Amino acid sequence: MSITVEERLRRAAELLDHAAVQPASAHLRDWSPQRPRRVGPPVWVRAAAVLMVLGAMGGVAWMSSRDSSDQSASAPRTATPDNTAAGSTSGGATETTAAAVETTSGGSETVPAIEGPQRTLPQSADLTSAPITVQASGPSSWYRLQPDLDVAWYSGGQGDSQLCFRTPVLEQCQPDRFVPGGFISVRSAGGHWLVVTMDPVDRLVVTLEDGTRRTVVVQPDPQIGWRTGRVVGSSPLDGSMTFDGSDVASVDTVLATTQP
Amino acid sequence: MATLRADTAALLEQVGPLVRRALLARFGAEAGGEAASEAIAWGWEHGEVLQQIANPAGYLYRVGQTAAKRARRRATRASFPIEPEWRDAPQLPGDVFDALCRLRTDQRVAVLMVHGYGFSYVETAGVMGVTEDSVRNHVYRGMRRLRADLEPRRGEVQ
Repeated sequence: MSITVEERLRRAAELLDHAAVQPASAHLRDWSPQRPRRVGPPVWVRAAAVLMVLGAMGGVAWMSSRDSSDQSASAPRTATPDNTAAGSTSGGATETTAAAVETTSGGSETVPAIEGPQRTLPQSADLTSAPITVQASGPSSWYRLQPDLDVAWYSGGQGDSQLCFRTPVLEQCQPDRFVPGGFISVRSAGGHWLVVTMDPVDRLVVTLEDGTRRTVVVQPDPQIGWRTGRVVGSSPLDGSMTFDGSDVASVDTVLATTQP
Repeated sequence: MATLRADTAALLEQVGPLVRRALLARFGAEAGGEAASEAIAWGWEHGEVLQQIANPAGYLYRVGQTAAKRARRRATRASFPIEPEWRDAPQLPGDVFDALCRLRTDQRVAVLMVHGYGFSYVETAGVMGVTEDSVRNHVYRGMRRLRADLEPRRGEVQ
């Protein structure tokens, strides 16, 4: 797939903003080491100015996220397979709220759908509207797949690639072995599990740790096409990768193995 | 006094993002960010003067440029980020920031302001202190060169 020059410019502008806020970003090449001493207004004046600009930018972000919250709040409280699959979108980075319809293994009984995340992730400066793989020693640019699920990729520069997920209850990286034909399960707040797949399917059948089988409705992300669904209960068993936060040392272990 | 501060705050809130982004486009992330902070700080200190200026955005942009010049900052390739590999479009030809750095400064600012940040020609002309026609020219010429650098040529397989 290719993107237009205009889209690249839009992303470039966003990167530039991001790099200005976080000058130590891995994307930014070092400036001259001989930095001349600046003479300017007092520190408090500069600090007030920076805070005001950041506040204005944060206000815009808050307004756009508030719009999306209003939309999801006005959605029906009980859902059917049809209207849960519809999802909702918000401004900025397009954001789809995963809703899942769960049925018993026989498929005859439909239980109430899960409406949304128990807790959401805050807006943060390290979010990007486009998914990117960065050359870094850890995740620095996150892409929001769900209100409670961020994904990031980074490469240690030796051909290895790490896949990271962030939810309100965990942040974990693993070597990227995610391929079509499987799914990833990621633990979120309130006993929710998010299942993510690359496959172009509408539903995933997953087996939970307690032995029950659930059919989970998955919705595609408009940007990267990954599909996400939500299930409550014990952890899905048959995923190709699991991010449950239990392997707290995994990030360090990965870094240690990729950067000898 | 309180009214003046409130008016200055409202004015800076309005023009601040425009000035900041124009300076980022001109000087890059670090120097542009610092120049913008100094320009906004100047605006805070000189609220009374700023209120009387017909084009405060353009004036603050000049203040930012002066601040960058005083600190002996100028844009080089190192002032800008490196374009990462996009997940949804890997192996794009060239690096967008390399191509932007090869443009003339005014072309880079105009292209980034209009196509990158989505500001109008009028807003961009105001902050740059040039006419709208000049901005159109800068954008047209800048985009033509960017397309030549960044779009695959006919028959070229990506």
